[in-house]
Amino acid sequence: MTDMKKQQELMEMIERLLAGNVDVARDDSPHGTRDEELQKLMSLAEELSAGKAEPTPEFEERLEGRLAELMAESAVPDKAEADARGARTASSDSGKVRWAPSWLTMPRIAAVAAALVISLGLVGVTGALIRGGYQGKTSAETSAVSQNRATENGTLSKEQTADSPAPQGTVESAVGDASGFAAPGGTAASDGAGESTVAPLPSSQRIIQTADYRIEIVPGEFDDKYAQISAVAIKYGGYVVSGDTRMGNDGLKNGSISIRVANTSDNFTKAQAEIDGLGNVTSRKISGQDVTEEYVDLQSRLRNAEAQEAQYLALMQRAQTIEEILSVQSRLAQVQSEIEQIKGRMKYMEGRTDFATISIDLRETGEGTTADDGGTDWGFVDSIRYAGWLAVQTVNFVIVALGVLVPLVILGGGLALLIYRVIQKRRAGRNNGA
Amino acid sequence: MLPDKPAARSSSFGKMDFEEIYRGFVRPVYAFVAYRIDSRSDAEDVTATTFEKAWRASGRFDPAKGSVSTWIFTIARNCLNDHLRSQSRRPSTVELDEEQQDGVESDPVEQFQAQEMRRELRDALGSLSANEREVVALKFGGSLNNREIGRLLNITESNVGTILYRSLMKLKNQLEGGIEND
Repeated sequence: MTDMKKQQELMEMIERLLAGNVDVARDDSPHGTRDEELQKLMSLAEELSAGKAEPTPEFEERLEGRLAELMAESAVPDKAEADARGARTASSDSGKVRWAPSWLTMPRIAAVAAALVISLGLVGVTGALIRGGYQGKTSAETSAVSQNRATENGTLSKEQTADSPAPQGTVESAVGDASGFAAPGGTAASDGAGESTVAPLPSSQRIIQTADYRIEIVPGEFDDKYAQISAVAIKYGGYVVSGDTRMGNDGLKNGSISIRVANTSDNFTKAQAEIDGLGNVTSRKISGQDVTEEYVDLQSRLRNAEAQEAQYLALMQRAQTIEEILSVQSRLAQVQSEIEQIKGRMKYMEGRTDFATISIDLRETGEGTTADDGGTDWGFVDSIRYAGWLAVQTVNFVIVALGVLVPLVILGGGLALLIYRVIQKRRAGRNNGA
Repeated sequence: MLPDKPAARSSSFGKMDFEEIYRGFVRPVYAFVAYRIDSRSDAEDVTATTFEKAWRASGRFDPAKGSVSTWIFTIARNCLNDHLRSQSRRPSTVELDEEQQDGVESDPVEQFQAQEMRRELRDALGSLSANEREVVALKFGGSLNNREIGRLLNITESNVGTILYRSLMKLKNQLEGGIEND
């Protein structure tokens, strides 16, 4: 047998062995007679795989406790991590600061002080300008904003999460889990959902599917379309994950809604077609990630493990002595824990693939009820008034800044002069001494 | 803009998802680590650090870039390497609880033989290069398939197979050599 061929054969055997459907002692090589060397390598591989260490239950318990603690203290891992990073950078920066007395000469101190005063002045003036601009505009905007708030709080507070029932919300499946892991197994397709759930995808196909839409609609249609999208979710055995609605300054509504539809044969396509018809689709992004391979791997491993479990259970029935029972029991426990592991991973994948996600950004475009954002506020008189206001603000700022800076400059200058004198005196004394 | 874009949501796990990941991977990760570190308490430390780090980094996990197994084992490898580096700076100590628990064989003779075999195997593993040891640990400890190992180590699947074959041959020769020497 050539090396390459032997190698390949071995690799296949190892894969099967790890999947649990090969007995090393039995000769089931494709050639009928297994090469002795191959046999040795196989038992070695089995030994390696069977000899792997298992964590003690006490350790697992401890670790679980620790993780639960961690999860409780930082619900948002990103932020905790970012904070930690921020703290690290800050501390390392402070470590870098070094005091270099030899640089401290009078002219340098003076130059730095001057630069400081100038930059402070600049920052101040800019700040005043910006603040002025903001305040100048606010008065015009405040009324509009408060008006909007009022409407939003009134009729428009339509923040939906998956926990709250969808607008049509009588169908059970419309209530989902915000984490996106609800109802694995593809059975969430509701009973009362009309033509939903067709035959499920062939079990060999596992695809994480998502679609992102941006749709423009005619003003006034928002609520209608929003409800239609929710209906699509329910019709195709899914639910509304989240949604929100906003009213712009121009009186036009916009918002986004995210739905999940049961990922059965052509549900995703049909749902897309319905959403396509809602309005002017300005962008559509569809993506799919095929995780079939990984899933099939898991399936076959599960089958094998379960077959093994059945065998051990049968053996257990026939076990006579306590020794035999104990021996079978420990192997059974090992297989069962493996089954749990595999099932956990499969469940995770199923949750990701049983539902396709469609996110829609919906906005009304066209003539609003009022003109563009603050566009009419800018008259000639306004500009002059604003300029005058800014001039006064600038003068005010300079006065305040001077009030703060003058005592400081006097104090610092006096101190510097004193030190300078002392140094000169000493130098003169030294020269005299020489 | 869209609060619930799929990429955004799936890139930060909820607690439930993380628990599933933990349940699915704690044993393979521990077994992988234990293949590289003899001391049980150290292996436990590295495993714990791996999952703590994974939780902290779960916000940055992007399923588009790779599977969960590759992700979690990447973290495990980093933690392990950190540990091995810190170990190399410390004088090595022999721990008493060196023997990893197997608990499969109930017959004392069988148990003894199995232990003996494993001790020899561990010694033989020392003859492998760091790279080979890692592939063996991922394969037989972490229960990853060659494709996953390839992705993790950035080498081709067939390359993984070659390394595994070479490692097994080395181990076999080492074990036979050991028997002859006895």
